[in-house]
Amino acid sequence: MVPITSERPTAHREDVPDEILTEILARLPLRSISRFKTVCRRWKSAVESVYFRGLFVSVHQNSSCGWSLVCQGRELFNFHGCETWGLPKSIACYLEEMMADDGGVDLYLGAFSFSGLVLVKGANDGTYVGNPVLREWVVIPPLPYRYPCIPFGLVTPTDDKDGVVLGFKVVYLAAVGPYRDKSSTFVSPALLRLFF
Amino acid sequence: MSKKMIVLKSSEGVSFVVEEAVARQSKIISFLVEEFPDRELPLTNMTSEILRKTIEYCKKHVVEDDGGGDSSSSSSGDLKEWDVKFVAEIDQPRLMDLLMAANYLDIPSLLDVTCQKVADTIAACNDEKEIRATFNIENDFTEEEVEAIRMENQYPI
Repeated sequence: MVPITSERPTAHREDVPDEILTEILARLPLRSISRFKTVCRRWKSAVESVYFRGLFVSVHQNSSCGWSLVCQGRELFNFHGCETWGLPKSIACYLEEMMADDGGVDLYLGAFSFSGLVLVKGANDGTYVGNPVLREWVVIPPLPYRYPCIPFGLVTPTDDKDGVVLGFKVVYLAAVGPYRDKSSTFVSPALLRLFF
Repeated sequence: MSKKMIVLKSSEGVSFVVEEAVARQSKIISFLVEEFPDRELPLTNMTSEILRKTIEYCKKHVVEDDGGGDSSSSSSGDLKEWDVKFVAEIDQPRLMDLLMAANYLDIPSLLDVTCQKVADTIAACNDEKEIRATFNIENDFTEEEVEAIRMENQYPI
């Protein structure tokens, strides 16, 4: 984390070891993590390491569950196992901000998963899965299905051991025709990056 | 019965006489005391200033650990308050030194307190520039690279 210039010649300054740097960064709230990546290469690789993920999950293990449904700028329903994930406000507020930036969206659904990923449907009919705090998103391609479908929910299997997201599934609800859930699977390596 | 004392020597060669129970909060010293009894322990990578601070911390904690008694909960609360004040009074470079000392001497509670203080300091920074300035970190990214990382974290909507 250092080097720190020393005005005291007797002081023997060393860089903080990587594991200590990671230990420090993992104590910080989720919202500031993307900011660390641009500090320097060392911090970037610390934040992106598997060791960091494991530490972060264990440090924040009481704050990693929740989801909410947001509609027309209002949080209709929420279940926050941890209330705010150590964030200054409800995670739904981040979605609202994001949608406000978009210039107004009339309807969207937000589904949260344990991992902090959310599913969002924008007004332009685009469907996105991402992390509202880190602002990392992937576009979900339209379904090869002739009935209109509403992206309805998000399922994210996680590694039991360290809570790392292994992938995700978007659950669609068929709006017309035979009512049945349509599940489409996208397990993308890019998503693993989305977690942090 | 007089308490057993040991001698710790800083990088400047200044000797500190410390009760063994105090010094034993460091796992490293605890080990060295057993391996090399009645020897002065040279801590060549610790300045007198940092060694003094470390000893101050250990003294406080050994006293509280001994005298806890029935009031252990309130005393552990007081101890936490004391810890917060203790690290709040240290400037940034010395805090890093103290953290390194806690790591080197293997004093888990001091390492925890100093790590948390550093984390709080980072959290209080508004942007990466402030973080770099606070911790005197050199920016080893090119502007293009920073931009690329920012783009990665942007959302497409």
